[in-house]
Amino acid sequence: MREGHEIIDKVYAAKSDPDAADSLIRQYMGFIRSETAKFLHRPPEEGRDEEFSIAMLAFYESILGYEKGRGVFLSYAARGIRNRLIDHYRKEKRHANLSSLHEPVEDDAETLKIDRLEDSKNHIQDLHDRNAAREEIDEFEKKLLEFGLSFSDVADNCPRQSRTFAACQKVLAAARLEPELLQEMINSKKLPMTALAAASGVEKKTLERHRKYLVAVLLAFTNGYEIIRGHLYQMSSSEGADKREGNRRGKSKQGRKNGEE
Amino acid sequence: MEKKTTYLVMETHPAYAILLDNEGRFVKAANCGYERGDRLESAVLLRYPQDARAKRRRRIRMAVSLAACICLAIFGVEQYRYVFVPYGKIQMEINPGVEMEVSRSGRVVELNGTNADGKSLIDGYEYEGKDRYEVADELADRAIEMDYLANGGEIVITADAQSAKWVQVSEREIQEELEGHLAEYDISIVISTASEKMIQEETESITIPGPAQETQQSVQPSGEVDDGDSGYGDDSYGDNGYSGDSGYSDGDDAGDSGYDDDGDD
Repeated sequence: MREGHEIIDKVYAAKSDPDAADSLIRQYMGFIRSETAKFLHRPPEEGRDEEFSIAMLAFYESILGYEKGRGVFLSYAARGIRNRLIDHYRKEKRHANLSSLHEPVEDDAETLKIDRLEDSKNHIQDLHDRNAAREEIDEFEKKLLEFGLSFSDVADNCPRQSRTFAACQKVLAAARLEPELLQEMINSKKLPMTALAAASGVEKKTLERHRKYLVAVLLAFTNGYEIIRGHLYQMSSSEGADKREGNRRGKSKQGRKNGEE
Repeated sequence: MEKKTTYLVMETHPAYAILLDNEGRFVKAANCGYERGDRLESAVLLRYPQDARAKRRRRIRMAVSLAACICLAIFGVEQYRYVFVPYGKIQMEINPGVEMEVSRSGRVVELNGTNADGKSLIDGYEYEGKDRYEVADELADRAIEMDYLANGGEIVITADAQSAKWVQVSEREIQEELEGHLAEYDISIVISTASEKMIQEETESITIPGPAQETQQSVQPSGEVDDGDSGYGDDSYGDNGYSGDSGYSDGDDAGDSGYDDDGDD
């Protein structure tokens, strides 16, 4: 009975604390492994079976979704893992006619197809790139900590509705047009909400609700994060397209006005 | 062309990794052995339970709204039928004949003259939105004004609908309404319903043999013998068109069923 209360307390602590979640997941790794084995009908291989990673993600989802009224946590988590694996299996079934690179070649059961593929990648360059990206991300993480934020906070605060996400992109576009707002944020360690709301036309309430995410994304567009900025090319290009579209409309409107005058 | 989403691994945990996609979203996804700084082309993203709950709530809201719309539509159609669709007819025979088409709610939805006087009686009369009692009263008033109805006159009310109960109730209620309304005039007008009229006519046409007739039969002269003649002449029956011949031939083919006896067809 006491054990049941203990696990519930741990689950509730893990909901908001990523370290507590990691610790709980490590503690129940055997349980996750056994649930995956039940589904696969064989023990999962770490680093080889994607199902095991998905089962761990499902366990974390169960931590986030669990409430006391939902019965015993482990039964709830087992159900969650099973459902998630079934969903994954169904999704993968759509690609059933494709052959896997991890299948053995026909004449040799020991060799995998992937081993016979010619590797066109420059691994040394890749390693350098990855190290550079890692350093930049470390730097970015430290900067975020100065604002009292972690990547986990930012991910949880990221808008998931496309309309809200578009509003946040509008805020970013407005801030990039006025670099003094970004500088003000770095100096004060606070998001200049009123100025951003006025510049972007987005409601202040939306800005308040996604403050953590906006700080992170605005910070990424300040100087010094070339790799992250380079990765966000689609965001920049879509904003650029919007801006170009806006300018084009503005010009044509102006042209019409002049014509009328 | 659709741009492909790519992810940059920002942080890793045993169960998940935090990724930044190229549109600027920070997402949590399954950690399939990733390291910070890796670039990915696909990921199994975390499903936030609150999103699933919101989705479920949205579905419930939609289902409830749909059910409400269906109920409203059914109620609306029923209400429309109750108020606007003709349910029965009420005829007023003053001499000018008029016919009202009445909805279930008692609202007059159509008014027609069944003869020339009836048409002139309703000419220019506005019946829209009025109930059957109001129309009946006003038509009686117009009939008096236009000299179609005078002292000693009669109005016969006839209702017609699928429901016999509705017919009975409507006839009686219109009768009572007109009696009450016409009592204000200093004239005597008989208001009757079709069923009363029918009973009255039946009563007038039935003749029950009285004791006088029986006495007449019993005092016949004793010498006379009934010869069995009914008193109707032969001619009284007239020619029925039959010659006594059944039309069937008595000849050789008598008893022939029409089927071939060989039975080989």
